[in-house]
Amino acid sequence: MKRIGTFIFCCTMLLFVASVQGQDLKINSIFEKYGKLKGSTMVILSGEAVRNYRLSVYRSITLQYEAPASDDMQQCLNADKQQARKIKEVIRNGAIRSGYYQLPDEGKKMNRYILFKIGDDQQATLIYMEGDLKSEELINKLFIRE
Amino acid sequence: MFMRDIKNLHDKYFRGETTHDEEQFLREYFLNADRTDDQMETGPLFTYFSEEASVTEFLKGLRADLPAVHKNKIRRIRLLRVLSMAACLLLGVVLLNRIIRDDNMLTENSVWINGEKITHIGVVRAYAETSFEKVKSEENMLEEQLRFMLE
Repeated sequence: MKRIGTFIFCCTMLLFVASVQGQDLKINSIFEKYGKLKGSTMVILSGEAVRNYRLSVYRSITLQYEAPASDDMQQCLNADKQQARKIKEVIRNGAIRSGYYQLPDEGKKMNRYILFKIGDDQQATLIYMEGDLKSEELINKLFIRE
Repeated sequence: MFMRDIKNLHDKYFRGETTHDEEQFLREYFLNADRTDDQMETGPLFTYFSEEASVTEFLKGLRADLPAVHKNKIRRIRLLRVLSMAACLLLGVVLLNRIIRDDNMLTENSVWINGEKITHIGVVRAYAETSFEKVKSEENMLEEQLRFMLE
């Protein structure tokens, strides 16, 4: 009986781990859903290719900001920013126009960021990146005019 | 058989020279006969196997006497155990598949333009830089917010 209890406990733990993993960033669904569609540009870079930028993963997607992608993006950003450590964003008429989010490292000992912006040409760009890059360096690159 | 013969057989056993029949004889002897003082220590060695056999018989009988409810319970527990193992295996396969898929997606350097994949690293880098440029703020965020407030 004790062994069965242990077994059921292990199964529950596995299910918990699986569900936690399933709760990873919602914006991943944007890359998966719209990345390979006509009108989208999706960049995937990792490893040596981005090491010079002190990053280990860089993913971006640029697409026309219109429904249903626009609604999905807003929903995903709103969900993911709940776990963000730092948030800088511009919201107009209740919608995120541009956003910078620093996420918790999830034990990976690296910084994770989500960047988002809707351009004047109504093109939305969503970026996910992770690596050693410090938030101050990123802010300098993003917001300080050279 | 005399006590002396028993003693000889006893000593022969500890020298490892007894036959199967002689060992069987010793077991039966110690099971039935009264032990002498010098046989008190080694006697249980010979009776152990026959006692174990009787315990096993008793347990078998006990199992046969189990009511149907207990048998159903055992069957249910076995089923539960099998189902748990199957669920764990399935979960493991799903997780592994997910990890492999994620790894593939994260390690392959590429750019997808209108559904077409380009893996030339120079082109991929150029598009990465372009996308980063697009999220850069043309103006200071504070200025942007102040302007919005004044609008």
